[in-house]
Amino acid sequence: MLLTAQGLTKQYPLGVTALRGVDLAVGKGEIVAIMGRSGSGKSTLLHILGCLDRPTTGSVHIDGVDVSRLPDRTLPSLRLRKLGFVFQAGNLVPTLTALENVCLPLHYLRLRAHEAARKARAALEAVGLGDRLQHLPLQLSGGQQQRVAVARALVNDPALVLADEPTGALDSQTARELLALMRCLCAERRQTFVVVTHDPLVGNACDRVITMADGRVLPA
Amino acid sequence: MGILRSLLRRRLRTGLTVLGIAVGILAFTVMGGMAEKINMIIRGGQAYFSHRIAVRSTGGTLRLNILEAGDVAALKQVPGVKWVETHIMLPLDETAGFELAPRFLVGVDLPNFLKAQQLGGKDAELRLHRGAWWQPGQRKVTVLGSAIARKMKLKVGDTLTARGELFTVVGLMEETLSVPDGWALVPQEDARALLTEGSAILRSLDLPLAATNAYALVEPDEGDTVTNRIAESLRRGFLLYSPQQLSKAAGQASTLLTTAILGSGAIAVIVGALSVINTMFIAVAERTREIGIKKAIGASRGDIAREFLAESSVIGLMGGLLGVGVGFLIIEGINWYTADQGTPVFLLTPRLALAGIGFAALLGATAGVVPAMRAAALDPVDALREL
Repeated sequence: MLLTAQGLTKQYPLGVTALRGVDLAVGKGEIVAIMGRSGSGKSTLLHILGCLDRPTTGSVHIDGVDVSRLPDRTLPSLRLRKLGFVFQAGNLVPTLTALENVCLPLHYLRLRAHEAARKARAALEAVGLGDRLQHLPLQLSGGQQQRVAVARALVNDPALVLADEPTGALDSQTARELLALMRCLCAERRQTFVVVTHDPLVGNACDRVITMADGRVLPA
Repeated sequence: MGILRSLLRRRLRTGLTVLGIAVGILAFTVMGGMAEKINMIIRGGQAYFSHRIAVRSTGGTLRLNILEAGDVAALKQVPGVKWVETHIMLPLDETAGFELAPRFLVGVDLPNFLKAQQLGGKDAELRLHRGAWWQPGQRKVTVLGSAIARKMKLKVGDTLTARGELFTVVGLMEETLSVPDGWALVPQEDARALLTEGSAILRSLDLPLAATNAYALVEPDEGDTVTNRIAESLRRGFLLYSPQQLSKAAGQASTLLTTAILGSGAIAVIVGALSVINTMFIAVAERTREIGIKKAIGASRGDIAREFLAESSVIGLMGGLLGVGVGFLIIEGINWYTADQGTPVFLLTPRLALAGIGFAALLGATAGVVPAMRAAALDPVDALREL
């Protein structure tokens, strides 16, 4: 298994409980949707799986490493090397061009500028935006912006890609195209893909759907 | 990445912040330019007087501030005195009123003067820039300091009119950016004639007048000792200024000026730093989600802090360049005007320009530290919730 979570709970200071003992396992190359209503705990789970947040109890293993026990200072490097993220609309840096946005993770990886640009260009070509390299986010459509975000998530060749409502702001046709693109790219690279969504269209396009309610995973 | 674009995205705010720093640095540059000029004059004076003990007569009840030939001879006898340089100094233009850079007719005995230049230290040596010194026995000739030549638009071969007399310009001295730039050197006999002509008492007394100012040339480290010896050897009624005393006074003046520069620098710090801090805090608040995304994709706290620090440093740097640039234009403009009046008032040295720009960049960086730390400390989950 590439990703396993055991007994995850998350309690916030004011007594709100977001997760109440979540167990899950996702294999290498698997494409999994986490679905549920608002407040069901799916975004909290994604943040914990993505090492952006820590569980109150329980553990998360990525590629055999118990990431829930790693010190804070090592997490950015882990995210940089092992994980890719796609968020809802508006997840590009508005002052950077498409190429520069995709270069960001490589910049933080301290890759040489020309090497980073070469990789970023290839990633943008893979998502069909080879002719939009120097465009700023505002000069791109919503679908194109999300494709840039996908290119950015994949450019450092992560083992696990996490997406939080990536099609939330897109029309159904564009959402379908984006999803097909992500499926295709992850399959090509044997990357594991976990997507949080409330869109059944997204759920149907995945290998498996994990449904959450009230901080728990519902039986399949 | 994209620091300038990020700043240009908020042109008005960035522009106003840059302007805030620029105003402070402008004050720093202009004040500093004036201080540099005055410090240069002080340093010139220090160099000149490091080898010289200035001797002036108090003049007694008749207020005749003159040294007689016997006084000069007594000075020469004092152990440690290598040479006695004598001047007869008169205001060049009695009708000029207050002058920013006073002009003097300085009567010298040329062999005496040139020997003193050799013994008075390399830093204080007055050298010819154009023309030649006058020949022995020549009268009504002059060698001009650079400020006089500039102000009166005189060159070699022209005629200087001073105190109703005409002097042919035979030479121009190198610019010293100090007091001698305002001197018109003339043969001592001409100066003596002008001095006695203007004083009925001097004419009637027919004193063996030697000079109005005398300088005993000494080794710099023997200044105080020889000054004490002169005090014991000369008759009463002389004011003596040892090199150490003059150096101390000059040092105090210099300290005062440096304090003035630091004062104007402090204004720059307060005005500039506050506006940078304000701008950067707003930038952090506006870009919370952007920070969240960057942290999610792997930016460390250091990466985020560096980006904000770089932005605030660039703001400071732009303010510094603008402030020093405008300061340069103002200084050049005023100098162009005042040079015509005799001497430039400001001196924009490379070290001052670099200090202004560097100081502004450092100011920007320092002011950006707290906002950058706040940005770096943002929790990525909280930051991502912002939209």
